[in-house]
Amino acid sequence: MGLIALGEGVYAVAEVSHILHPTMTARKVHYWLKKGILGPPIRQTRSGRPTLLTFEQLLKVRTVQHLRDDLHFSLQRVTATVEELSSWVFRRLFAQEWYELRFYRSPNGAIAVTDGMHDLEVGSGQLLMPDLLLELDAFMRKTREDWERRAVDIEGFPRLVSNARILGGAPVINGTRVETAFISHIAHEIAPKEILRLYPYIDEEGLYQALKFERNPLAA
Amino acid sequence: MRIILDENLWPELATALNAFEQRYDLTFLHINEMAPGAQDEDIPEICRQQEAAALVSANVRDFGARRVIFEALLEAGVSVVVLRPSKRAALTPEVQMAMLIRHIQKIAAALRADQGRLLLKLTEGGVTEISLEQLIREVG
Repeated sequence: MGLIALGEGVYAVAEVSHILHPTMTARKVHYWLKKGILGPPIRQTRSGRPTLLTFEQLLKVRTVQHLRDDLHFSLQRVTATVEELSSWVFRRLFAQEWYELRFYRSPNGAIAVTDGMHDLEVGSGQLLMPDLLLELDAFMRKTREDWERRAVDIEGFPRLVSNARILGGAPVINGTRVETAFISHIAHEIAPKEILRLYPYIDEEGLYQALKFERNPLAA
Repeated sequence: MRIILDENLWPELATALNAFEQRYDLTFLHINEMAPGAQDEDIPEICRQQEAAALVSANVRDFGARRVIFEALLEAGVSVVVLRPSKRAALTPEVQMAMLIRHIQKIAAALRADQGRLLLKLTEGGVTEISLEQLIREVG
């Protein structure tokens, strides 16, 4: 495995799909990886060891899925279109300088995206509602913000975060270096109330969200 | 010699282990007392500021993510002690305490002999010096 710098994040594919639940699956991540859209992983699967991705690739997975789900291209064209669009979008999303990306419908009816200087037209997207274009603009802004802070919120778990700068991106209770996996691990032998007493910097909501995220039955 | 405990470890563990401070000439500090929620890139600097020879970390999963932190610490001359759970027992505070107390002498001796850049794996069975590659082969 090649060296990567602190803060770039290290995620197993299963972890990416867990963090990006409920829409993401490991199979989808492997599909986009195989298509070359995400770039080469830090490490390919070998001898039972998981494929590892960076934080940038986690955001790419989320973006590709969002574009695919929102743009409603015909099935025959969707992969090629998403590949072309992702490549154009990624060059801007993860660049040093950020130029706001805006989606619009061009005069000939095609869906297009612009960074204010360059434009890309990508097929018709017949079923696309105008509101969805604004939503896509907001999604791109959010992704850029996440990229700059190197962290993603975990949907449905407001007290949890995956921050590439903390434990390489392992999901933690926000504001701590306490992993959700560790909470779930010790909860097999210690009651949640006792964990809260032993670890005063863990809050109750964070604890139960960690257990639920880890699908620990104690969360129920 | 000073040793920092990472945030997964029981915060009172430092106090409990420091009862043996004179005996082993080791002082334990808990990172939550100094820098709660610290970013990985700050850890080597925190260790330097505290003149800590090692960071103790508890690892139950997702080792890949830890590799870069351990590499950065080792490069900065800070040793790493990784607690690994056994199949029999989770890393509860009692188990953390028992594992560290049982092997504290060996850990201290290894850290003193090596002067940094040492990766030690601590299990219920004992403490072993290990390379990052070996640890990754074991835990993915």
